[in-house]
Amino acid sequence: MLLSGYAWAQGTGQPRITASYQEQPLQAVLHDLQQKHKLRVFFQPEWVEGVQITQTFDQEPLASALQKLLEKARLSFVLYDDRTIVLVPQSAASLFRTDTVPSGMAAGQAAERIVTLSGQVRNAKTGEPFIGATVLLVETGKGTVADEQGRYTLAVPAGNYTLRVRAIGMVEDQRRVSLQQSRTMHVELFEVSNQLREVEVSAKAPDHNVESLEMGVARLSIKEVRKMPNFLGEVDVLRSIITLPGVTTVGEGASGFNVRGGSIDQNLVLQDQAPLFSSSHLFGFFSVFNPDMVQDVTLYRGGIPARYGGRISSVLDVELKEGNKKAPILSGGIGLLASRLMVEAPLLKDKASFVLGGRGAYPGLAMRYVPDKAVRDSDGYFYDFNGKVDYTISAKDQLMVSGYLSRDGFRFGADTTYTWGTATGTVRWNHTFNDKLLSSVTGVVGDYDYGVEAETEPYSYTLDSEIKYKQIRADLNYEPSVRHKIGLGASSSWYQFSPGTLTPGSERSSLLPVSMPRERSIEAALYLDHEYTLSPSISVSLGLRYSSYFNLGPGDVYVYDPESPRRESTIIDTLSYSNGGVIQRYGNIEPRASLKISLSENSSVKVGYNRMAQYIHLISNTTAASPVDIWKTSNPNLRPQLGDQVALGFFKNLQDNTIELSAEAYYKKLHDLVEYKDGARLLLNSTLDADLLPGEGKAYGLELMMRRKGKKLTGWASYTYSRSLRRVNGPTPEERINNGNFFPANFDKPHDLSLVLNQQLSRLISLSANFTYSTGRPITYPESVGYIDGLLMVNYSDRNQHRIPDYHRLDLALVIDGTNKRNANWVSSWAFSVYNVYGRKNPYSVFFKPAYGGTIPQAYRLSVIGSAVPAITYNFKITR
Amino acid sequence: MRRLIRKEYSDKAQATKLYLQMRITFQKYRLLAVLLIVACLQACVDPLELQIDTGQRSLVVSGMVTDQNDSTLNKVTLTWTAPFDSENQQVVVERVRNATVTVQDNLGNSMPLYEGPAYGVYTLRKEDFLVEQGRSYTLHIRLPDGREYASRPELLRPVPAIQGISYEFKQFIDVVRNSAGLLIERRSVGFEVKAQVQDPSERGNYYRWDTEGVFEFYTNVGDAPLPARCWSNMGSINTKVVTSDDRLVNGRYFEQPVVVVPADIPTKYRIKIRQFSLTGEAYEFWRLFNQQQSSVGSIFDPPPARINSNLYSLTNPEEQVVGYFSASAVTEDFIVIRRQLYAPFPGLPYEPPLGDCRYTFLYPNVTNERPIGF
Repeated sequence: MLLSGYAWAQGTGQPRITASYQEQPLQAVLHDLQQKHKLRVFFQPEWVEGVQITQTFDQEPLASALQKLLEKARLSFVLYDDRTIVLVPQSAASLFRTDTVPSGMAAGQAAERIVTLSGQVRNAKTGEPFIGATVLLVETGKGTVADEQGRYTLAVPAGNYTLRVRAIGMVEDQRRVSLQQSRTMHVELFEVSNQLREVEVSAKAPDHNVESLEMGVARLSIKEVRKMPNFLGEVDVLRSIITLPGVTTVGEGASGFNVRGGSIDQNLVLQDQAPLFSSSHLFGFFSVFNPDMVQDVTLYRGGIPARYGGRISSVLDVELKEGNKKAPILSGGIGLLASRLMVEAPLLKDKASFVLGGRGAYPGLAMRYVPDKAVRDSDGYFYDFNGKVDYTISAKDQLMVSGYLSRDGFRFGADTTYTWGTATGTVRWNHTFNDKLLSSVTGVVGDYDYGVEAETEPYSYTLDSEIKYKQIRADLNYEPSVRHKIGLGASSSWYQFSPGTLTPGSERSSLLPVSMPRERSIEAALYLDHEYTLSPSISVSLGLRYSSYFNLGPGDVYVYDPESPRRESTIIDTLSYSNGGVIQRYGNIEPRASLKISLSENSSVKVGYNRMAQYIHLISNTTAASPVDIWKTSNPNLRPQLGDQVALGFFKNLQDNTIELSAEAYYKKLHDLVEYKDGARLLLNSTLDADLLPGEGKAYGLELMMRRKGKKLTGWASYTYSRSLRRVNGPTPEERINNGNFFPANFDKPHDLSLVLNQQLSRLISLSANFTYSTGRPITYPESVGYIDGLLMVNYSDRNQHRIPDYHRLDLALVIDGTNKRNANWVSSWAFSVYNVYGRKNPYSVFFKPAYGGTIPQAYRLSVIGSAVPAITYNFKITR
Repeated sequence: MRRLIRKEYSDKAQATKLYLQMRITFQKYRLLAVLLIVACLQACVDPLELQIDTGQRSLVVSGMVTDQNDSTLNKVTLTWTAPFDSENQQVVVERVRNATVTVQDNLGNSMPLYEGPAYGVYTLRKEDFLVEQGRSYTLHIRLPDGREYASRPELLRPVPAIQGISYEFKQFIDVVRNSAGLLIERRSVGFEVKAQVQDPSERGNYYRWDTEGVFEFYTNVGDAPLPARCWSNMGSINTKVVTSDDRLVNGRYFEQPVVVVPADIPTKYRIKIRQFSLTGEAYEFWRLFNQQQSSVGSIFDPPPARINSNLYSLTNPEEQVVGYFSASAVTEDFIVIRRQLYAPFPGLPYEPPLGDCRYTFLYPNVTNERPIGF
């Protein structure tokens, strides 16, 4: 029986070493020991070549002395007898610790057998699982990314390997593993000493962009987001998303974002699986995501997995963090417009924890210094709370409960108040059947309500709208072998939209109550996807989603004369449906497919196709959607929107995966988009269907990106050329826009360039810069004027035939950390930022104020941010 | 905006609709203004001088035929569009002369329109009048250079009689932008005039209203034997299109605010209201024209858009035509407002001008022959 060096070290009666070595070759040191202590040491000379030793021993037991000497050479030792030492590589040493395999077995003999290594990656301090940690077996180059529960599985030929686990902000864990049979290995990672200054910027495997099947997918860790220059000192997830290729916004102060030529309601925004209908606070100046609470942000622009559906452009999946399972932590930030505070603590050590975060904004403080009285009397606010409890019931079961509550308000003078708010709750239960089969069941309830209230008599009123939804979904992940990954699931969502109820504010109000009928619908879906690795260089993923939609009663549906354009006057019949009756049913098969072919070790080509269906629509014909725009479900007169996308991408990594290059081209066709008749009336309109027009769209683009991951200088440069075009070509002139020709969508910005750079100046100081350039967005300009019946009429161009001036902006930020001590209890940082450094008045829009008395309307250029905006924020984190 | 709100129950639904539309648009504008001031440390709204000259002139057609044999109503005006030039605010429109203009009905009858009394105005003479309710009318235009245009047929629909006209002396609060770009309230007084209408029971009635204002004025002639009392006909005093449908008032009695008679001179004012029937398509045209006039131009407003015409070119299908040709039944009524009962009005006291009232050149279309109603 052989004893490993580690076991042996605990023995007694061994020789003790007293010696001093200065820059001596290891071989010479070993020779010296042989001479002095009458030992016999066996090793291969090449193992110790070039290893220099500087060590002093004073009555050191032989075992620990050897351990220290051999550490540098990654060698271990085996004591054959009292005086005979056999040096072995560390990897081989572990062989001696497993009793199952004879020591003499060569790696080649085991190569035929496939074994699996699986386990969980956790934060050693908090016990939280690490989503997106990279797990790599160095020798094979085979890697994977830890899933939502931090779990990973790798299948390789039996043998000895180096397992390398990396995650953002954590010390890399590298260890030798002997895989002679399938085994489970949990890896706990420690945070790097300086918690706010991570060098690693990617949650992906180093070669993930080349090796995975994903395309059009962008992951940002919150730590990455945090380093980007921010506006008014607020770290913001959405603003960071907008710097990625293919993502644009109509302008500053506009809520939502546009992805690859889609409108803002075509993005599925998920926070802990709960869909959100409004992603902005304070009209787009803040996003709804509390940066302290966010764990991981994933944006799918293309290659959308079959488990997602319901929107046709993109999926933004935001996963919130779990509370620390080891120790309580208090953290927060104080800024000029908003502050935040978060507390997390274990409930049951290593088993259960909670996290609770809140934010509040007080723009009213700043408004108090504005000379205009109307502004001084106005007030605005928002607050939001996130809470999350997670409980590891057993090694196989995990329960998570997450909740979100937010409220926004803006009051003008002492008169009109706009309010909107979201409340969502998520419960998720994960169950592991075995290493190959995982399941997850999720339930979501949500409520989004928005309204306007006016108090001045006799015109006081409240106008309320509301969306209620419930969702349940079940997902199964099955990995029968390393070459196959199968996902299967089902989901069902119930919606109830109340698109507007007007109530007189008091008895004295002269207004009449008006109530728009409620709309109810159910959206159910089944999906199956299969990822198959045909060969090391070719893998393919096929997915299929079937979605089924039911518009439910009670409700009245107008039947329009099919021969003439829809107007209130062309209603020929009204159909009434009882409670629960199916007014209309739609079903869609949504195929998804992608293919990856590796061209070499660090480059690949990918092709993807996906079809998506969308059954609920945001109804807004203004340039920027306002938070009080209504949503509508599909009905017999409003068909679901469909989107098809094909994409082709080339990916290449250079310099040991520190430089990523990618080029992606896409082409999209969109069907049954919601477009509007010119001058459509959307508010409290019982025949709204008649003001909507079905449109088709096409979008195409080329996205080029270079991303540098390194130690000191990180960041990316991206350039996108893209077009987004719409066409409305109905049977009559009234149902056509621009004579039925394609016209640019409101957010069509062909050239878009982003540069995001972060330079670590010293251990405590980092400087970041962000530059953006994009083509001005399309606008309809007046071309001529004429008199109609004595009144001046402005004759506008065809829709969106002109453009506002181009947009460009530079932001800078400097972050100074207060400490870089390991395990400091109080960690703080100061962030200084300047938004729009050179103070460009980027036009948001050009508008025309009509003038009376026969003069031509005056054109105005409107810039939302008209100067450089400096900000300062203080962030802190206290650990007990 | 508040002038549109009335307490009469029959009018409430309509008022609610109008009020909300305008109110919310207006509030969005203020909201934006507040946001701008908060976010913008410097002025963010800059006037922009735009000169857009596409080099293309389009034909502008404005006109109608009615079921009344009145050549001041049955006429078509043809002009060319002028380039949009917000720097030089003067609009000079060129009239289209020597065109051949005819109106045809669906039975094949054709009526010529002759140029006069002004250049570019083509009038249906009383002796050629052959218009009846229930028929469809089409306009044909041939220019001297050979280009031809036509309208889509317009059905002449009936219109109910005006039940009466009411007015109210009230204060108006307008929100306007001052020279510093801030929104301020401006107060003024005037007589709000409303048409009282009984909507027929069937759905889909569309209306447009126009006005004619005639007022009395005196001059100080001393002892000279000169006429000192005259009347001036202002023609239409509408500054905006007034149009409505029966969407919220079908089959009911409603009051429609049409115009505000100015409270400037303490004399009698005769306001005539003409009520026109419209087709659904014509109503869309006038509603969008009204919306263009009412839009405050904020980013929360619908983007401005071209208003489609019911005219098209026969020679070049790509050529755009501006304006509308409509066929309307018309009913009218008038009321005389004794403004002196409400005087004095805010502002400087009224001083009668000196001399012969026919030749003061202060007002248009002056006569010393007493019109009906005075």
